[in-house]
Amino acid sequence: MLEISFLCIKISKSLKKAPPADHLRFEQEFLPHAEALNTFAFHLTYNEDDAADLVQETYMKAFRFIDKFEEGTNAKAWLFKILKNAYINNYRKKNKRPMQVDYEESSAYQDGDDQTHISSYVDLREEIFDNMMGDEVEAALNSMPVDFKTVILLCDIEGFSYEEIAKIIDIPVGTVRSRLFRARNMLKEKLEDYAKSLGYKDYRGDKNQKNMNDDN
Amino acid sequence: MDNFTSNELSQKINMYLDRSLNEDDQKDLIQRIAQNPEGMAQFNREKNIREKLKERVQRHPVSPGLIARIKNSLGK
Repeated sequence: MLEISFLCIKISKSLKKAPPADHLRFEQEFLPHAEALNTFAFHLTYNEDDAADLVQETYMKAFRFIDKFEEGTNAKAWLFKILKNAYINNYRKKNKRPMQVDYEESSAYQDGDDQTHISSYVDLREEIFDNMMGDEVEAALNSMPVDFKTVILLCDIEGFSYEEIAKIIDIPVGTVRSRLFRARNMLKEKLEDYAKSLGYKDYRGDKNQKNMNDDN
Repeated sequence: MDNFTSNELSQKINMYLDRSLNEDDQKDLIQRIAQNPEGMAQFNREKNIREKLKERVQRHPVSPGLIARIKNSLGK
């Protein structure tokens, strides 16, 4: 927190010289994404104050490096990339949490011959969502390793395409797809485990077994 | 028009809903599922799940204080 405050003061001094037109453009084009950034930052840090600091730092860096922003490209995606980098620099290194994806996720996706049964958000999950409150879904999401949670937040919550996500988190598009595939399965399993702990029963297995017995 | 395998259909549906399918493939997929009740059901289920997930993840609005801090730090 203290480190970020010093950084903000340092950046802030260089920003006050910017012409008013830059401020206006910045407010119109970049500030409307503050809520999306804050939501993403909160899910990364689990702390309202840290999230707010991260958002503030993101805007200060964006303003400072606005000449690097390519006109006509996605301002929201650019801001998310800055926030993601700031998060890695300020929090991830400090926490040293084992959350990086370091296995062959791409090949796991591409080599899967039969992904359908696990890649889909199947019926059970649909029913679980119907019966779960937001807090329970958030808890399942927040318990995921950050790299997996990140792709779900960027794709399913913020609506970025694979290509945009690839640019935000600096990984190939194929890896985005595979990571998303694994992340969704992970979330599905967490929700199912949670539902089962509450006594929810998955009858699909019983039904399949019954069908097999009938066939025999 | 060749038939998709169930995996291909599943992947195309995911890509469509993830806004990552090109325009021609989008049209192709929509035509195919319009003629395939199972595919349409899968499409609607996936769409529904995404909507429910999005609804259940809480947004965190920025406080007026944070906006003021940002503007102030930019020199406004």
